[in-house]
Amino acid sequence: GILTKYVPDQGEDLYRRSLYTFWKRTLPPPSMTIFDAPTRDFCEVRRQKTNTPLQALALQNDVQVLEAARVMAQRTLSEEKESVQAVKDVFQRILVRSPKEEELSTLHKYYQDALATYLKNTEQAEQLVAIGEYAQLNTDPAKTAALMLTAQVIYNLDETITKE
Amino acid sequence: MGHHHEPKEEPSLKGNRRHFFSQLSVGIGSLALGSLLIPDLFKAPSKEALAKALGVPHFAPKAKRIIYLFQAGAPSQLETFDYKPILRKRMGEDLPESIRNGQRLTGMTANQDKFPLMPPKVGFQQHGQSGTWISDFFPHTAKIADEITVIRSMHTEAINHDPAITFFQTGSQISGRPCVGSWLSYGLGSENKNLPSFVVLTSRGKGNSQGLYAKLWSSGFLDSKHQGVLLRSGKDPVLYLNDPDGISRSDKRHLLDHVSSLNKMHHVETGDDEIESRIAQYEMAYRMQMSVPDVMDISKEPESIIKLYGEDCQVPGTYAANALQARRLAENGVRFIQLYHQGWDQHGNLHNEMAGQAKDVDQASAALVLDLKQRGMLEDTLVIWGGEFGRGNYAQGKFDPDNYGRDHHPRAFSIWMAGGGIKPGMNYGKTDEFGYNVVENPVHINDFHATLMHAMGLDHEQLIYKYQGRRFRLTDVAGHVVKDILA
Repeated sequence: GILTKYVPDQGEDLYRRSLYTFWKRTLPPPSMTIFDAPTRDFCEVRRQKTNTPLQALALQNDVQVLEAARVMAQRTLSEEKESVQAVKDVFQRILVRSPKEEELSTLHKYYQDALATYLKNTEQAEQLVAIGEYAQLNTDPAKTAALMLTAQVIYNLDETITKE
Repeated sequence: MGHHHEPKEEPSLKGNRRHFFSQLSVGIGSLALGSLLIPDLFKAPSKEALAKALGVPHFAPKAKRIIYLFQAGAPSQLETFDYKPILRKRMGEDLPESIRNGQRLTGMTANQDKFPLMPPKVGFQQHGQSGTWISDFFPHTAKIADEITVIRSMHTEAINHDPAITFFQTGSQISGRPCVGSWLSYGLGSENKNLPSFVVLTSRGKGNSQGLYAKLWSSGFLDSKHQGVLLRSGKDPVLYLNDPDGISRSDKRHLLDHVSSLNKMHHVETGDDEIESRIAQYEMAYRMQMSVPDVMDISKEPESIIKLYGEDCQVPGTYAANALQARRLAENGVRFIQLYHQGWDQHGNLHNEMAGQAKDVDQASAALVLDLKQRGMLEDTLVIWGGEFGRGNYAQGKFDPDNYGRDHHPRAFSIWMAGGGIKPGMNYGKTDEFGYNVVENPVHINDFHATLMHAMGLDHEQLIYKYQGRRFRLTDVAGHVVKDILA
């Protein structure tokens, strides 16, 4: 029945902190349990720190991450026209440090490869950037798709998701 | 763009805290420290101190995988495998107190002032050379009577569904512990690099259903890589499996290659092995995106197989479809495959509902056994069929032999097992004439678990995990291997 489904909110409510997720005891939100959120069945003194393929899938395909990547790409492209700086901006926003030479050149090359692919296939680019309810900014779809995937790469790094 | 405070780089310190402490535990220093804390550390190993190596069986296994066909809701043993003619002879009489012997009742029948005996409306026949009594609800299972061992002496303490299913899955009525599948994954490792080693498939019949919860395939306190993965029917068989629109498979590969190369750069700098593990998990996820849809694609199954399981097997989400999936998963090296079929909780309208439930599962369950047999896989696959407890021999609510229900009954119930190390065509354990108490060869859930593990080559007393300051095992502090049913 209603207890077995999670229904996404609409509008402003969608962009609140995950703290406010309605917690169903018999069906804890999967995006959280995949990342070792305690199920609240018993007292967990030390939370597990696991590493599973389901986490990899969630980080790559959960609309929450994809939407964040898209919005970040669009905002960055609205302010910064030069591609190396755009990649650098995205990197700094996520990892709170400047990229090293090697990292920046790898990511920028990735951006350019992705951009070349999407310039040849704007329909795919448009499909990709349509993700998420957040308001769309009027940026070039191919560039947005390429920068969005660059942001996705950074979101999926071990350094991003692990707190040392 | 704003001022970023750069953390000071210390390239000379090639490890980080996490790495440092994880290495410390295997260093020379720890041995010295260990001998101070555990004075017997360097003594000859006793049975207790000798921990068995993980990832290998303790002795030669008979079964390499288990397919557990869990009938959620608790099918009545009196309408499935336990034939009790006295119920018809003494229909309507009150359940003698000497038989009931103080068994606690659920809130649903506790206030009844009479417990009139109710016979099954369905008939029973004996089948096969083993002469196994099977109800007419299961004509297909009846045909494999000589492949299965029916255990009629199962018993549990749990009287309600949630604690009872939890008991069957984790060895305790209290939730939080790892499931059988997780223990096996922990003890034996994975046979397959492309699929999880513990997979769950659910289906629901039209009978009265109770819920199924994610904790039933949880890894509890074990590493969550041992958790069961629920394969859903529908577009996304595993949650988040499918890439969004706009990314092709090669685009995704390209993205992952870059995640991997940046992670490797980070690994060179920090020496943190968790990063390597994460890279491996990402690769596994990528493979699963291919292997899961592949396994679930039954379009190449021959007509004979479709006929064997019944046409329902082509309808995703049905028990028959799941049973066929189970065989395919077994072929692909998945070690523990759990099916759940809900809808067996017949507190009322038992005969009609059970007829429907049985029809859902009978043909496919028998088909699974036969299918495995013809592929030569039955001998190392353990197939189990059963629910979480039994049902009472008295009518629940109004006394009406045409429309009756039965309340929960933990003290005696029946399951069957086939394949992997089990003697075929056997009848094990007996209940009293009233089908109420076990009188011969009781098999408790802990014994059941001990036996499962034994079939898989594990000593249930040796596979342990230290948590909350003590050693845990699936069978906790109980359980005996039922050697009589093992081949």
